Amino acid sequence: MLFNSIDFAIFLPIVFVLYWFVTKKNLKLQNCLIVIASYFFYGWWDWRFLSLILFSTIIDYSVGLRLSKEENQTKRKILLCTSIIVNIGFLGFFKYYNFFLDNFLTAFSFFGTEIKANSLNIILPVGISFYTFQTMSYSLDIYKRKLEPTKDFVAFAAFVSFFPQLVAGPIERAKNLLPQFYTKRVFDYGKAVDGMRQILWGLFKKIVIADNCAVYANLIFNNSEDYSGSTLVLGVLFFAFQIYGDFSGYSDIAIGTARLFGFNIMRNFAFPYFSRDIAEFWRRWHISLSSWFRDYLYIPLGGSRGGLWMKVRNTFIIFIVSGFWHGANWTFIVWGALNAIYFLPLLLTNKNRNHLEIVAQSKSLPTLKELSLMLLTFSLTVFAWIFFRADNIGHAASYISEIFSYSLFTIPHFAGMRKSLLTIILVLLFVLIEWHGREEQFAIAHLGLKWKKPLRYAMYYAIIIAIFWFGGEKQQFIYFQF
Amino acid sequence: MQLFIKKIVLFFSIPFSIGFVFYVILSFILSSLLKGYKLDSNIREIFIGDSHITAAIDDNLIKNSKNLSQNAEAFLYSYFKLKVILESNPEIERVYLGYSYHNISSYQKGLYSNFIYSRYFFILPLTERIKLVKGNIRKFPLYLTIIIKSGVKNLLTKGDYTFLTDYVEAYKNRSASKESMDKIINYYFYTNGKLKDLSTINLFYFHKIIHLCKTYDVELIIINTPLHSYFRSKIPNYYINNYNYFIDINQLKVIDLSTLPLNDECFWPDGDHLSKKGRLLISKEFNKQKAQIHSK
Repeated sequence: MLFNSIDFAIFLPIVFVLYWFVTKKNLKLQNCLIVIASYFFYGWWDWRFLSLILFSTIIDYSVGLRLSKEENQTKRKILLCTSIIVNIGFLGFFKYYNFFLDNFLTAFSFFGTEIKANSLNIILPVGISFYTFQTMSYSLDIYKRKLEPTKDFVAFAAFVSFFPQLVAGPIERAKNLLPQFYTKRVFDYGKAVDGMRQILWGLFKKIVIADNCAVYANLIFNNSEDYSGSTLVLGVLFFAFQIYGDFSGYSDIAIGTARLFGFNIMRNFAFPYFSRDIAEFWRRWHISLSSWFRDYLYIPLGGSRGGLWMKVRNTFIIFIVSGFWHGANWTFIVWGALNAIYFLPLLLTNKNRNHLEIVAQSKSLPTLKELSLMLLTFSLTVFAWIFFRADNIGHAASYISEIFSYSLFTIPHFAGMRKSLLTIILVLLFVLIEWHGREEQFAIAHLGLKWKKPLRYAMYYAIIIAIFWFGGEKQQFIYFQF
Repeated sequence: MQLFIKKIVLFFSIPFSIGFVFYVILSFILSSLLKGYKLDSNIREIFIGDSHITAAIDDNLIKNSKNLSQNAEAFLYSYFKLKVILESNPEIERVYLGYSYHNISSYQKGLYSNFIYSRYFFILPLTERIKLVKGNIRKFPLYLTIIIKSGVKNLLTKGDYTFLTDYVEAYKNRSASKESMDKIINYYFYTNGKLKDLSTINLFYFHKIIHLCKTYDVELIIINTPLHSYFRSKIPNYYINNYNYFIDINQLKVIDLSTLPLNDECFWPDGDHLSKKGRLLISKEFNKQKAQIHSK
């Protein structure tokens, strides 16, 4: 079920009413309702893959219980490996099987050995990369004795399948989300209203910004050989706002929906395009994934401790794995490696934690230096997006080579160029609103709260009208494919 | 909790109520505006059909005529469009209907679940409007916006209504290609190698168009639109036989342009739409055949 669909618009109020009116007095019943609603939400797409979630839930629940009782270190390792093998196994089979097979075949044929093997026509289960990582974090935390296992299977199943963040994150940690299923939820008016505002802003980002930018990004990327360098630059800029609007919009809707049910889930985006260096960008972009890799991969590998070689190795590992997490394609691996190259100079000169606070705090405008740093970081990010969006490495290479040709200095031109001006204006307006609200959890968190009621409502209605009026052709959320 | 629900209901009911009132007013104004659509007083002949007839006929070359065909127009929509035109333009004497082999195939899926049909929304009766809304119910917010946008556009344009016509010159420097023709043949007539069924809905409205012309005492002439010889040779006999059968039982007059020898440059790559060059040739040829048919 998509958040921007009529199905969800019917589903959400029904679950909300049942949750707060029918099951309100019984915590267990409320959790049961969440599990049923979440399975229904997921099964709406394809019920067959519910078995994967259920299997993953049973495995990690059982592993968690056994891990807490087991003192023998070897057996504990075996238990942890079971969880990791099951989860990574699912991911490996559904997401990476064909990639590895094709690359092995290519490698063997390169050395003159022809091997016959057929690729499988595998459907990638929506959200598999998200919920497998979430359940794995549970087992890893128990293994490290940072978390006590739950004995409440329903609460655990609700934690794994919680519908607001099931298919595209944020990837929650058991430490944060699981305890919320043990405690009685009380309806909080302020929190619910805040959640509605965040949902509204998420829908705006997705439907107005991302879906409109997608039209031009797809047009330009899919026909890149026909366009000049300047048009290609415009194409990747459209993609930059498409992916940000799409994914952060989804996260906003997820967080806002969770708040309606009395849950607090972690922030996933913190205005990443206002970052002053790549390290800051990665603290602000897809926070739940970056911090997952930091805690469960980078730090266990030694992090930034150790010698130069160790730092370089760990940085490349984390960025390449992060890139590979996004998809079984060399483009994602290059995208990850490129970000590692951006990041390394900062790490090696100990400048990776220079910008911990949001830019121009308590000020209206950035300084010239801040502006230059933001533009530089944005340009580097946009350049890397070419690999992320391209169909293959060859496509990315030809795209880049055309950008760095004399045609970069021509006026951009593509079919629908005039129409795209409206999208550009909307994006500029969006950037202004995001800038204004950059010190908040989301851009309109406090916008208009001190205004008179009619004015505030007018703003909400204006956003709703914009969603309806400027809504582009509905596109699936990009991160569903990951 | 109650306060929250009350406020949310109130918040959403205001725009919905305003939207509903707006829709009713818009619908009322447009229904009378569009249904009263007047063609130029010298127009005696009109062309109706889908993109094949749009691409084939240049009405500037045909005296006292207007090409009102439109891209992807199924007979269902042609019927309601023709009804509107004939009701308010009694001076129309002749209707040319584009009717080719693909028109009887069921390849056109989702005659109600498609955004492009919103351009006919305000000329449809309520029952058909409900079917259109139901067909797009899963995309309802976007569909509603498209309907309103189409309504506002109709309101603001003087006579250039969305349900009328939309000729756009496509594929300037390309000509018919076998690869494209094979693709389109497969798309029109086959599903997984098996012949597609005939379209019951298209045939139903085809007969309704025939009946409508009789009711208004207007002559109906079928135009079998031009086809590339390769394309024509690939049409399954099942379709050719059925096509002829429906012509014969209804005793329709036909101008057959599908067998004319035209070179590759006269077509789009798909081999069943004409290029600008082909359009010019065929419009002239049409005038000749028209003269012959009327002299009989």
